[in-house]
Amino acid sequence: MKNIISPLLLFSLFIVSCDMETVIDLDIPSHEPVLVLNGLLDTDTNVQVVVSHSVGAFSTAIPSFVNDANVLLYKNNQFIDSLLPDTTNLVYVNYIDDSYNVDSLAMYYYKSNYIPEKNVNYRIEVNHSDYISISAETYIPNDITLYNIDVDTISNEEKIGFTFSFDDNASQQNYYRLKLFSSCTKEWENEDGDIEEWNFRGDTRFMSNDPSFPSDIPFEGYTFQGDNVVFTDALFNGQQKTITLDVISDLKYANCDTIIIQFSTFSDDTYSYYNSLGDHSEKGELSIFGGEVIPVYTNVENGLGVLISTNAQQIYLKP
Amino acid sequence: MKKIFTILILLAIVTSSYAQKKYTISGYVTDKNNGESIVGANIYSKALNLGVTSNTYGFYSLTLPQGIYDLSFTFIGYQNQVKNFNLNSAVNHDVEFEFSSINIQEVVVTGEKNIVETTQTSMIEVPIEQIRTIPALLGEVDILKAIQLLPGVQSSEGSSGFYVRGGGPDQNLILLDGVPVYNASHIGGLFSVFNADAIKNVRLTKGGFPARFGGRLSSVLEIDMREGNMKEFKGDATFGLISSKLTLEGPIIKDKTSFIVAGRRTYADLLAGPFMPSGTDLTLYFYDLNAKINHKISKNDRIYLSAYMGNDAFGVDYDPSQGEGQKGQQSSGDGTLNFGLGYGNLTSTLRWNHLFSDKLFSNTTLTYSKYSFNTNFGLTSNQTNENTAINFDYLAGIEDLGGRIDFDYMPNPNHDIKFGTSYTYHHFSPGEVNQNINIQSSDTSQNFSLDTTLNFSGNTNVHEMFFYVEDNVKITSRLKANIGLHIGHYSLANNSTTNNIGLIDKINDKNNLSLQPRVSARYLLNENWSLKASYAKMEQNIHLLSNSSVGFPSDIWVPALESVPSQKSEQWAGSVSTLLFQGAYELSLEGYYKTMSNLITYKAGYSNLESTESWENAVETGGEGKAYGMELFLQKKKGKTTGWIGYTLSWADRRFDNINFGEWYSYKYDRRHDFSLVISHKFNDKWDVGATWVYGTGNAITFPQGVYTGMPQISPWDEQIAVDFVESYGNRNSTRLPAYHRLDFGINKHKKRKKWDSTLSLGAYNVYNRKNPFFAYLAYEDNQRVAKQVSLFPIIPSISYRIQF
Repeated sequence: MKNIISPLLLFSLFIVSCDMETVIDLDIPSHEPVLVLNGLLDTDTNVQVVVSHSVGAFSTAIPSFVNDANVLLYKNNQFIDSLLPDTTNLVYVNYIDDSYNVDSLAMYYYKSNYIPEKNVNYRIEVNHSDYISISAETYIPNDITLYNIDVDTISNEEKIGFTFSFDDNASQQNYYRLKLFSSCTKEWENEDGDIEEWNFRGDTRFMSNDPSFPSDIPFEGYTFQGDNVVFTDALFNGQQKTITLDVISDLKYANCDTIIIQFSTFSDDTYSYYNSLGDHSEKGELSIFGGEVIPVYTNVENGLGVLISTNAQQIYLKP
Repeated sequence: MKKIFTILILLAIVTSSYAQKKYTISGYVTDKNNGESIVGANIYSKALNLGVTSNTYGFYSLTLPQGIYDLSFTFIGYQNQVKNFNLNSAVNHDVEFEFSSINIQEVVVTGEKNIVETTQTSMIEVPIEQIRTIPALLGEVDILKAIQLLPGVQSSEGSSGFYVRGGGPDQNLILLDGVPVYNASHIGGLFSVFNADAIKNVRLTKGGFPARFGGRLSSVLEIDMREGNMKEFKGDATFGLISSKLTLEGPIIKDKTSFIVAGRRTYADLLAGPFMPSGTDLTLYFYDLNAKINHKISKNDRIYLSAYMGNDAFGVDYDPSQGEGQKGQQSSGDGTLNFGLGYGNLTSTLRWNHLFSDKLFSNTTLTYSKYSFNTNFGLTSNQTNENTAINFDYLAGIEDLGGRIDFDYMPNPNHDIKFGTSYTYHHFSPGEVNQNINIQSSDTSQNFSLDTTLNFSGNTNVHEMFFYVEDNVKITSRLKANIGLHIGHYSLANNSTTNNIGLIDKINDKNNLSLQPRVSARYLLNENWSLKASYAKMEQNIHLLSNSSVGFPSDIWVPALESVPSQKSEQWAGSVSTLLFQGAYELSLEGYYKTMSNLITYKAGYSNLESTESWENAVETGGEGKAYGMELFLQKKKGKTTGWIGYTLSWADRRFDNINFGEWYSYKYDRRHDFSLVISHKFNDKWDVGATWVYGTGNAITFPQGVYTGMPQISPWDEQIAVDFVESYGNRNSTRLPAYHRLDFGINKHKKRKKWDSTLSLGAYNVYNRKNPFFAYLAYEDNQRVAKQVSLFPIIPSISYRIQF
């Protein structure tokens, strides 16, 4: 018995420790490369989009940008302008390749001098001789006016309270994003007597108990903590909405005199995109606990990518 | 006048022949060696071509005209008996069968036990002794692993979950002595909760459900516990690589009261403990305990009390101060980190068999079942100026209290009428979190304390009842049918607690009455061939929410609500069955078509462990399913060589409005071809071998088909622009993993001694070390993107030693 058990156990340990990951020849449906359109339209900036192409999952090619496509802009189905690639102001974008090395790609913005308007539906068509034509639509909602803005630095030394209100449009489903960030430049004298300049910029973490925000297990009395939040008007459709936030005083905000509230409203496809983007990167990995994968939302017909839009208001605060 | 008188005489003769008296022979069928009741024994009169089989409790009743008959009593593995009866009054005759080591006698086509005779379609009974001969993972004989080898049943590598005819894992009603078991897995599905040493019968019904069953769409798995040896005290112990078990049974009062206790525990943590880093304690084990007492009160009354308790525990406790190089050293602070996960079932059954008469048998059952899951995380930190203690607990579960009464009425051999009623009170607790945070600082303004319980979905209580009646009726000498009706009723209880305002409105609104007709029929072409057909309408009032691919214990059971209605199915099946080589082989070819509605699944990205949303807001509802296919099954139950061959050709699809653009897609466990060969051979009393070979088409998965650049993002830190590469998936489940196939082998050496017997078992799982796919992902290797597959089990040898005394 003893003569059997010991070698059996050793053999078991050896076998179990063998590598159980192998490269396989997986038969996946073939992927015909398509055009990819990515663009964010907002009422403060000229229209600019990027066009690239997709590659097959097992292709050795990089899904690079395209600089010779024909890009057309429509407003409420009326032709407005052709977007032209800005090949003089080439932008090199960083990406992390499959080996986790940082590399860069030459990217071409397709630009127009046209500034989008609110309460309008926009469509962009992209044509190229090597690919099927694609198109995508997005709607830019009307302005949102913020009022009753209050900054409280007195009630609590450790926190700064922000409160503001707005009116929700009852005639449609509305989507919002709230983002806080600080941005400033400070100078001071170092040990050697030299003047140093430091730039402070970044998203500012805030806390809230607003029921419209995604809630988590309460911590330190708040159901939400983050540097930006996306939410819908499901709980206040057509009503006045008041939002209260708290920001910790001694975080990076304290290095700046100014904190900026960016309050955006957008259409449902933009909302779907933001939601899917977060889920795609955090969850849905093909793994033992991952369950089903989550594709990134696309509203591009015959292609990939997304055309989204936002109507953003920015308020500069000087608490 | 003469004519009238003659006619009257003739009428009297004819009438008297129809009014011939009938008498009933009834009794219990048991095993002579241990007193265990025998289910499905055949009692047959060749002269009248009439017969019956013993019921789940070993009781039989056969009503025949007055006269003298030879009745044969037969059951596989036991010596046949023939007894002569002069039937001129009711007869009570208990039968004790004697075991036959090798039964190679001809099968006598009797009663309704063989595959040709039975009215029931889609039902397979696997003798427990046959299950014991199947080579098992790590040497642990496993009932659910054996079920996974049957046609029409799909499974996942390493998991005890099973998927029957395109159904989900929650659509199987698993009954242990009549009480539902909600999570039948240990160690995340590696083993089932059923200790084979405590089990007597295993029956799987995949379609043509008799009216007495309800509550699940896809299958009923009945597992009957043994009752305990009525004659003498016995023991059975098995020692394996990672677990051991012990079974003790015997009479409390000989031939009147018996008991059986079977326990099992793994010791993986004890083996792994010495290899853990210093300061780290590992908890990794499961245990289960089955117990039963069986008491004959009188000739007409018998009670049984059985219970099952099992638990899985996994945990890690880390104390850095105990790490290597740290012991004995003073530090300015220390702390501990704890993580634990546990889940388990507790079931209990009290049953009372009562004979009202030799034709009317009743069984009254009271049941209790509880499944609970918890995970906990704890952190302590003791610094010079501050002490912190944080603890989170997540709890979920389901608890049932129920009762049912079943009647079995056999007025004559042409009718076997079953009717009864059942009531279950379900208590659902889909999830709550307990938080304890305590921070004590030398700066008292920094002190913080929190002790709270958060219930995100609310606890829901429901009443579930059903009535049923079914008749197994012999219409002609060739045509027999089982016709029944199952009537279900379901309502929410007033005492449900919830934070969900909408749910409060639904209490008292959710009131569901369902009529579920069931019919199956058998037509005998001749004594060796029959055709069968069946139809069953089913309804399921509870759902299992699962967001993992392996039946992680965090899967939760939730009730049907108005917003998440009951699942429904309809299934049609037809088969041809035959006996070959004088009954030594049973062969059936069966086709089926099943539709399902009101299916649910989690919305994309939702995890019940990470979200505080109520579960009702996190599910996709209104799903549809369809499954169809053909199953071939050849089984040999007798002789030196036994086993089966099963082949399934099937399709299973799903559709949800918000998944895959509302188009139909392949269900994850859609397996086009599924083949299994199970064989065991007994050379002599000393040696026997077993082998299993399985093959299955790969599971359907959603795999990246393309890659593209995402929206450029501007970094807030340095205003540099960056892009991510995004994967494009195409249609849901449009890719197939490689095929799965595996060979298992086992050999047993038996030795008989004066006072005890022993068996040494050697085996190997996955003999040719096939790297079967568990899941696959897109990776980068050698400067190119590739598909990488993760496999779970290589070749795994096993050894176990069993003693019986």
